[in-house]
Amino acid sequence: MSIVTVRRISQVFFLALFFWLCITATVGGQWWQMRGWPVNWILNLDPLTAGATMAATGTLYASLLWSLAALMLTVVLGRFFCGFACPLGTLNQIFGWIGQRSRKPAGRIWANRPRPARVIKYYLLIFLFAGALTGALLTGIFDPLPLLHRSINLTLAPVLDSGSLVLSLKPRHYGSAWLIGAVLVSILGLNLVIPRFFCRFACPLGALFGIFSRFAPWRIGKTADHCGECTVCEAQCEGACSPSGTIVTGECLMCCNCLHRCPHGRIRFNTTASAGGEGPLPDLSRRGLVMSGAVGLFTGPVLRLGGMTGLNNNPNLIRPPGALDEDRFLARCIRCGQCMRACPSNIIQPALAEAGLEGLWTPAINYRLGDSGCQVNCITCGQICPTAAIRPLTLDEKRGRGDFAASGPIRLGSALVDRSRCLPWVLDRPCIVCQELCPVSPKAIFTRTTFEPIRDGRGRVMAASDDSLELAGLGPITAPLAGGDYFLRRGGRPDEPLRRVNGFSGNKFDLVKSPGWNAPPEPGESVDIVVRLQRPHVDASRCIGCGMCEHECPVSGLRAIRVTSENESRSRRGRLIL
Amino acid sequence: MSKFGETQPRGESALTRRDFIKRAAGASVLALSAGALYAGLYDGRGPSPGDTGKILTGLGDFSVPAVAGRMAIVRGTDRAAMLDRAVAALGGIESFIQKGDRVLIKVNAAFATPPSLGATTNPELFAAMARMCLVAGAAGVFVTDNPINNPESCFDLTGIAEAAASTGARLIIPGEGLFSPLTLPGGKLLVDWPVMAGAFKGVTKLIAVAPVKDHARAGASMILKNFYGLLGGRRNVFHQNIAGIITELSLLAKPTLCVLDGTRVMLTNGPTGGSLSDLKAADTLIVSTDPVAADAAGLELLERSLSDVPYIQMADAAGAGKADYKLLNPVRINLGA
Amino acid sequence: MSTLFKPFRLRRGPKRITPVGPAERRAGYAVLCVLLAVLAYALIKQSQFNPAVVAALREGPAGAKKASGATASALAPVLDALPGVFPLSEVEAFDPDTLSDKIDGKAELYLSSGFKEMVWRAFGPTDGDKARFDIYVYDMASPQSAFAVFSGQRRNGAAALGLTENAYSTGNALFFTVGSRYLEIVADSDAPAVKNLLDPLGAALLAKLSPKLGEQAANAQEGEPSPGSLFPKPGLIEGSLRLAMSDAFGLEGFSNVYTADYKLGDAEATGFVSILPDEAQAQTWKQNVLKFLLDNGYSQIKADDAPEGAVVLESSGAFEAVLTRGRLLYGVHEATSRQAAVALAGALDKQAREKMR
Repeated sequence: MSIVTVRRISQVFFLALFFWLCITATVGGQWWQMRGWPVNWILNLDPLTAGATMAATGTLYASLLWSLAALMLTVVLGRFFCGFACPLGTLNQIFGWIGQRSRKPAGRIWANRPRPARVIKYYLLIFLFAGALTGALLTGIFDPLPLLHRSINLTLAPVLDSGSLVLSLKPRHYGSAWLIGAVLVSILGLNLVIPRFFCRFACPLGALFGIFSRFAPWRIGKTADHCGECTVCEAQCEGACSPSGTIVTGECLMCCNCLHRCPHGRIRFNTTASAGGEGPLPDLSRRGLVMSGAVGLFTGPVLRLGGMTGLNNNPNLIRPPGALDEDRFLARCIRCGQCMRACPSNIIQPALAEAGLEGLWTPAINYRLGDSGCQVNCITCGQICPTAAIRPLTLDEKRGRGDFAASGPIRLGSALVDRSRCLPWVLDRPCIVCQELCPVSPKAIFTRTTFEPIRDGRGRVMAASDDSLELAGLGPITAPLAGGDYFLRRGGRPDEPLRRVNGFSGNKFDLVKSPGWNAPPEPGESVDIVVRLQRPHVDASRCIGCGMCEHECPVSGLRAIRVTSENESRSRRGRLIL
Repeated sequence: MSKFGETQPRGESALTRRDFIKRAAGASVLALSAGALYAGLYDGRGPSPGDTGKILTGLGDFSVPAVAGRMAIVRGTDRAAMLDRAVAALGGIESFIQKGDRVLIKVNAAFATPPSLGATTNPELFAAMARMCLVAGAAGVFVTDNPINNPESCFDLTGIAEAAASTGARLIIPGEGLFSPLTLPGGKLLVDWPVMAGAFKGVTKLIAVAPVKDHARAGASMILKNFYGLLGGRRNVFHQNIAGIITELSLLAKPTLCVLDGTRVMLTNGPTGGSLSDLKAADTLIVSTDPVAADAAGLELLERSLSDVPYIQMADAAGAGKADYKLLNPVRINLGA
Repeated sequence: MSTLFKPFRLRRGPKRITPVGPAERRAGYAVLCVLLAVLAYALIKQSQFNPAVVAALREGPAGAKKASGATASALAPVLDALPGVFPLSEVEAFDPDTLSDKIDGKAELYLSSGFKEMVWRAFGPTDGDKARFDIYVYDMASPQSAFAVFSGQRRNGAAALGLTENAYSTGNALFFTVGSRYLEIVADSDAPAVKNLLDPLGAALLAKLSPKLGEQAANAQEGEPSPGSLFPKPGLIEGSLRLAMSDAFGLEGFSNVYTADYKLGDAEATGFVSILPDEAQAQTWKQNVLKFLLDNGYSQIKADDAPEGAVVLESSGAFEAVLTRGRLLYGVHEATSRQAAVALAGALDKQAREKMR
């Protein structure tokens, strides 16, 4: 069993495991659902995430300890992760193979030629680390593991699942998925030009592994210098590390193709330098590294100058329950999209501009997209976040029960009624959908009842009996008068009670028996048809910002009740009650 | 030796072995450093929710149980010396402040008036207290108050700022970021009210240092009234129920030590005073672990009785301390007056 | 273009020439072992449910569309934990006002029979294929009320169960009463694996509710014969005993009437028995029933072979008989032949005389 066969098995294994963990990221107890599957395991293997969050927060979050294993093996073996494990690497290799198939050997060698642009990923790595030191964690945008999770879960999975609906009960929606999809298509498509394009030129994780493989005692190299220069190895090399010449071990992806294909078996795993010459890393200029670092150190503070984490925060940015305050959140979020994938309500969306440039693809809640508001008994997003940018809440903490009764429930923001759009406020239409659906007890939405005369609803009494009234002079009425919300009010007799309309045909109104009128209406007396409007008000001391009201509000465009970030638990600044 | 297959030409074996060892050493160092970094920064619990938006229920209990219920009443004129003897009588500063403690000294710097007018904590007394804490090994000494007038000018004119600078204590100027909402359990007034919780971050001991003053509404302003300076917001609304708020203040935080300066008491026209004639030399310093008892003892210097100042007995009833200070068997020291 | 016609090759470049050495093979096996270890880890971890999954399964789906009423029901603990199943939803409680929210029009049957409260919960099996059990526990005013709704919905041809005095099962469900409670355990399929879970569930619920029977027994009326014993056995159709809590036969106010169906030779008839508080009321109701029948087109016919005091009526081939004895009012309803009506009336009379001695 050759090492290349084993490598292929390993790549397929990790890719299949990755796809499986994508599938199982649905909350549920069935075997194809979350159960206890370690859905973040591949993300936890990522030392770039671990190192950058260490730089940004000064702590290593427990589950990221797995990355130490990957790092230790790299220190000893080199970039085995790139060749044997990385699922994006495997996909890149597959697409690269498709691209190489149509080329002649000369074309393949051209494609695998080492290129100066391969230093970009090292500068990118330094830039990202420097940025992380200032608290701006941008690695998630470029790091292949979060990138792949985000791309597959938020674009490919919902597209594939929209018919069979295995992963969720309803088709999923993700805002700005087009950009994420475009990035995925570009990364995979560029492999058709040059194989493993992303791996060679842009992958900061690969650069990190390259640096850490500096002292690897075992590495690939030629055992004898006089090779026939047949360049078969060059045509197969995935890392473009020139195995037949001066091999750059930091670029070697351990694909072992050269070892496998060398007709004379001269390429081996050695404890010595390659007979053809060896270099640890490509030519990095010190100036370039310093510049990248400086730009990185500068970028973090510049991104914060806009005050978007404090004074100038976007009130429409609602973060998931358990999210840290914005400064600490942006130091932890790797934009992996797991919370968006797993949210049963499908309301967590990748932000485009809502959280500023620094918040690209961080989770932001959109109550219009998705199935409902934030379900009160759901703690999924925090439990699935690999870096605890969203804290893993217990249900007690989220609901404000038990030990957390004193601090109360986690609030995502506060709903506020838009009185310029709400049906009972301005459209004379009864509606209490928001109040009915408010899930907290006692409800955070209460109503105050008022009676308004309807348009063209003034008439004169023609005939009256105990339980009915005939009116003349009414305009055309389209309202459902017998629906239970319409009453007759006698003008000029404010002491008489309003009587509900039970039935209505032509000009005759059947009225509910009790309460009855004390004195019967006189012919010619003016009577108004009034509608009972229960106007919603939000009690901000109870509202948890779950968005059920916003989601269900019948004013479907710009909702008449909307949640904004005031009073969110995670931020002290926006407290409404003081 | 190569791993797979062919052997090296003989002459190079020593070189390759050295090279291998060098690389192995380098790899080990790299691995160990990475491991050490991981271990050092390992965080099993995850981030805390932060002190954002949570409602506190108190500022903390900084009392030292081993030395509870003690009081010393010293007669004299030299504040620093009196303080020395008083603290010694209570068990020595080591009983209260240990090495590494972070001490917050709550002074009365409510007005931008010079120390001579006696409306604020005497800077020499504060300085002596701060020095004593530092000598005992405190890792940091902080001083704060939320003045009624402009903070900078208050700390300046009262001499507190200079005293802090000279002793090495750090002055904490109240700012918006330091206030957090607090609800006192069972409280009627301190419900969701901003208090200067930020000043207490990392603090392990609390010492209150205040002068004995007459107070127009409350009857007296001493240790308990001093805690008013931890409130934020529009706290003047509490003046309508001054006894109630002081009672609740007595439950807000339990101090380690209370230093009540009765060397010159403001007998009339408190709390601001203004005229030196308002002051009377009572030549007494009261040091106690019990703020209620301290106030009760200080009341005698104002020639008032407990019924004149209802909040002391209310605080006793609430469990903050003893209004009958004689129960503490105060140590009386006379340094000559 | 020519590439399209090249035969498909997975391999690029020449085949491997040099043999695979032992070191390379060992390295390969080491990697495979690691992969197996990863797989094992994943399989082990998947059985330790993520807290989010535990919360979702325990607390049930979104509390959004649910009414915010409290489940402050004394009955709710009965549905806490049951053998072989785990909850798919929270317990929901319904009172007379909200019962129709859950069972719609069927609520009428319960409401007219002294319904107090109902608790419901959905369960799924802990092992095996996906299935669903809906368990309803109706708290009725009395054991008679429970029997009324139990018998009023009894499915024909249902297999009687020994679980309690009143119990039967159908292909996918269990129905029984315990004291003044009426229970339904309804599974969503009749697959054997599912059916096997029904009996343990029934037994578990019986065990949970039985301690309450002590109080029920105290409420049982003294000296009252059990209704079932008042019906003669010959010809009695098994499981046809029913209790109409109110308005029996459409006669307003005619309450607590037990009926049982009979097949006597070729004819069919329904016997009825009602126990009134005293003799005077029995007489009153006898008159009410007779007036009701006469108003509805029945006419009295001569029946010398009928028991003494019996009144036999007929209308277009349907025969009725009405008698009283002491507090008992009983008779025959909708007999298809005169002989059957008279025979059943006689049998009922004999039974009544024996039991009321």
